[in-house]
Amino acid sequence: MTATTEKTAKKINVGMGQLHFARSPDLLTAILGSCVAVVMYWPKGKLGAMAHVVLARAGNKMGPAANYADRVVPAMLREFKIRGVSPEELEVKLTGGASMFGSSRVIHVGQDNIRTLREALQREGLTPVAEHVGGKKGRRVTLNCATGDLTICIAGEDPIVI
Amino acid sequence: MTTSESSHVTENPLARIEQLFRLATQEASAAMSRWTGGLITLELENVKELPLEQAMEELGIGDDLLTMVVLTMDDELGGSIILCFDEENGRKLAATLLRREVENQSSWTELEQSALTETGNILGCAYMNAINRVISKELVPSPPYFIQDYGASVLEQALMEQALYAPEVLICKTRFFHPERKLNWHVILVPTQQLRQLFDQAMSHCSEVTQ
Repeated sequence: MTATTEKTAKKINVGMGQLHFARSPDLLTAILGSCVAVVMYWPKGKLGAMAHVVLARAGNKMGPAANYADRVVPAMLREFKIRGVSPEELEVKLTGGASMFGSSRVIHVGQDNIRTLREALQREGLTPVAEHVGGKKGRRVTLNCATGDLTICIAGEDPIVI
Repeated sequence: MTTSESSHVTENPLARIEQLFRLATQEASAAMSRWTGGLITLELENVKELPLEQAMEELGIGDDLLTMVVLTMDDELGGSIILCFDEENGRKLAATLLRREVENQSSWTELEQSALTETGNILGCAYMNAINRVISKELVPSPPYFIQDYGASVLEQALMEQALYAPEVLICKTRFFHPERKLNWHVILVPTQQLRQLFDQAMSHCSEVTQ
């Protein structure tokens, strides 16, 4: 008889303003409306990170770096550096940023988040390898840390993998 | 209200807002009871102010797909009223209102959607009428939208208007009652910072008057 050493995949929920790291075979998941998920994956070590970004700019507001598009990218790269991973080894993906409903003040929040994140990534010399952004509906997104696949589910549509 | 109660309310802005929403929920409950022939009523469950990151967990809205009717409280000042239904009882309500059997189709028919949207409209207008009387201002709710989406994504969008200005968010949650069935329905009220100030000023004035 051979002993089974395979680890069961754990599903980690990434809430608003949170940043989580996970290794294969675990899954990182988030529900997104106008928020944007920044996903970074290190294929060599099968290490993934997901940040659930709420707003574009921090200004003088307090709160975790993952809340803000203009603070989250350096914070994620710092965490990868601590784990011995340099930016050029990472695959970056963006998803979310829907414009669902609300007053004129919030209807563009999603687009603003995406724009600010792209700029923040560019400043660090990073370009997303894939994006699935915008639209008018929410998304359930799941990063499989075993493969780096990001599965996006939208109500009433077939899942998409980027 | 006793003098000690009213002075307590005056000192606590959250309690003042709770008092306003309790009043508005009573009016919404009366409207809901009339609309459903006395079957369904509602009451305020809680009013909470908490960090944005905890809001979703506190409300217990997971990653399920929900059927919702959403109204914005006012075009200029923002704020949202979200009416969430569980699938089974939402369809039963639609069937009761339409005086027909529950449809067995997987998707909602236009008539069912219309019945739920009208329910949202009635509740939203009842809430806004009660609030408008207290604040002496005419907030005009948007037409209701019928949405089938992840509950958390809709709530996230509603919370965004508060998140733009403050790290903490205020949420009011309402529960529904039916004499024979457990209803997993909620009205979630998410005012903006500007609306909160308006509500607080109005309720401070009311408390001063009652003292």
